[in-house]
Amino acid sequence: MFKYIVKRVLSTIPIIFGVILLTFILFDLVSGSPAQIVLGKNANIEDLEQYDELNGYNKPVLFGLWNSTRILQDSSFKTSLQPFQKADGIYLMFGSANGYVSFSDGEYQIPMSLEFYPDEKYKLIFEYQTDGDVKVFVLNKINESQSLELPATNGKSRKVVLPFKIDEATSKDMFSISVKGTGTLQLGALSLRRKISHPFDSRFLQYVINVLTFDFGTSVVSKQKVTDVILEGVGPSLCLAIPIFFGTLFVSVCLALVCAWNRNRLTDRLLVILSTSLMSINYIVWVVAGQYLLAYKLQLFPIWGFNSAYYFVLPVIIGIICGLGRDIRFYRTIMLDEMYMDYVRTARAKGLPGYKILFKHVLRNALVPILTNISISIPFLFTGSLLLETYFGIPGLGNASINAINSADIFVVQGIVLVGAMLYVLVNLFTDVLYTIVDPRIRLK
Amino acid sequence: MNSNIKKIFRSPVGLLSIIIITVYTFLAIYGECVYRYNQVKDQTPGYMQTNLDNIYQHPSYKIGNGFLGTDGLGRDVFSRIIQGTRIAFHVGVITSLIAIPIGVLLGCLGGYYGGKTDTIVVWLYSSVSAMPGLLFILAISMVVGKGLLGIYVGIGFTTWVGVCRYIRAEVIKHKSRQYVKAAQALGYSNTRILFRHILPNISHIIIIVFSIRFPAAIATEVFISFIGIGVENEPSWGVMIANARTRLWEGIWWEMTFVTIAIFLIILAFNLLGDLLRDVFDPRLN
Repeated sequence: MFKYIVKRVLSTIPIIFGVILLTFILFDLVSGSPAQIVLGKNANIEDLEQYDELNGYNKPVLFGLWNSTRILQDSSFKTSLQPFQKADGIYLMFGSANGYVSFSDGEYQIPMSLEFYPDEKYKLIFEYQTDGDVKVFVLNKINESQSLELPATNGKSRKVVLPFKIDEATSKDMFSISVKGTGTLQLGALSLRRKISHPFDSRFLQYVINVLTFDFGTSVVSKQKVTDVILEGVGPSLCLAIPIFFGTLFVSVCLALVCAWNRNRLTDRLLVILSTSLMSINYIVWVVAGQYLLAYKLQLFPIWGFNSAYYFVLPVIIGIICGLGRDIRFYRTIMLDEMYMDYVRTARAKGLPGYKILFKHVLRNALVPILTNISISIPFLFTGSLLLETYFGIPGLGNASINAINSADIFVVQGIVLVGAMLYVLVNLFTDVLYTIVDPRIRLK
Repeated sequence: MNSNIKKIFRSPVGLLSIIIITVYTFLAIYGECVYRYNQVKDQTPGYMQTNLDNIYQHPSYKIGNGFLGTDGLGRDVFSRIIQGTRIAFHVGVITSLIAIPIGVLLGCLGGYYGGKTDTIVVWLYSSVSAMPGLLFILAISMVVGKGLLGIYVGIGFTTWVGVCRYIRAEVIKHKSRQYVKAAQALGYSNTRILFRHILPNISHIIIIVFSIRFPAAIATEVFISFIGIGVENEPSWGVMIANARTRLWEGIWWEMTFVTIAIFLIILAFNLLGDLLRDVFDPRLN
């Protein structure tokens, strides 16, 4: 059994990894630059880079030794002269396949957007060709030993890499291209790469470390730590979710027993029709109608707020009704499965009264699938009910996530999604281990 | 197969739900026509035009404008419900077109080949199913961007899990059947056995799965639009309920009521049909 438990624990690792990978893809890659989200669209490039450097967002995505950097964005001169817009005597030309920039006799700055980081290695990559009699140098003004002559190619395209190291002094204007002679230099593409200290020192690694140390960042809107937002929200969410959970469980198991007891008779049929209809009514209709009829028209309950236990009554009732349809049908199927088992026939043949069969035999045996169903819903208790909390003003996690989604507060959403998923994995692990202790058949499978 | 379909048409519940679904389908197609027509003509469609002389008209028997009443901007509730039907069907169909192929493909591959392929498939769907359902869909819609595209992507790329599980379990069952062994003995290729022999034999699962996830997708869309992340500037059912909610307090009951009934009927019809399909095609499940 110990071996099985260890195996089961190890099997959660790939799933946790999968959860982290999925959220990474969604929140870190698809959603765009976090710096832009936090600092806004009009932030200047120094601030953006500073933010990225601080939080490790300027590292490669998964792994890699060289990464592009904001200092000089990759240019292929297809549509614009960028970054050479402001220079004189440079023209954008369109060749057969790609555009290129044509340089004739003179010296031209390579305009960098930012200063280089000291004590780091970089490389500049030129894709170019030369025409005619021309000598081309790339000059490093601070460290002249790291200058380079680009060999003449006479019309053939060529790629040359200039590696260099920044010591102490750095400047935006430290590189220039010097062209001497009658011919031209035709630059097809220009890019700058920054060396990363370790090939796996990446955004993903940073993300994994952050998640595993429960550091989900800070909220963009309230500047509060996401872990604090989650801890604050869990309490009210549980206050709402736990009564709903037990209420639904109790009512639906009772009604499912009634169904199983009267199977295929009128009561059963009516209950099945009722639960199918309940399933078909949308959650939001219950909320709107419940608030309007019970709270507003009949004034039985307060409409909105989080002051005393009384404020929870209406949302709890609505929550129970909403979950009822699905659960009655589910538990009824489980009970009926058990009702056709041999041991029920044996019990009947022994002459046991019906209620004893139902409660002592059927309910006990149906307990395993019921417990499975319960264990699946436990993680969702923490993340709370999105709708009920929002529309009844309960400051739980559901409310927090809806607010965060509405204000595109990506870190809060990410934190709640991650915590929810981790809880799901852990609770599943826990129940599986519990089963092996309770039911030896499972570990033999 | 044929006798099974006959069974569905013979049962009153089945017939009724098929009739309801057909009516809704035609309404959705009509709504699509109206929408396209207005798009081609480049004019504001009638269901979007404000008509302030005509606000809060009670429902009346006369067919035409104001058949189910008008809303706070004088727009005909009935034609807006039809547009809601159009959007709901869009969501149901498009998310199915995303989710079912992914689920069927992964389920078939995992179930048939087993081993490492299966491990990867199981890992993938376990990871997705660990995500907190609705919140994850909302997060995807948020990242992709407000509007229908976010809803399609969010629902489509999360609900393939159920399809995949179901198909995988079924393929594993069929793998050891005689006809598969016979096909293997004849030396057919794995892809041929999988897609020409096993898949047709489990195609009823796809129908069942479609009938289950279609109403779920509609309900999710209504929910997302209701809280204001989904459809904007178009009369989705969720948007209509969100608008009608505030007016309900002033006693304007009809918009809310009719939208609720519209949602209820189509979801009920699909739920009933789904149950029936399961009973007929897969009696062991009941």
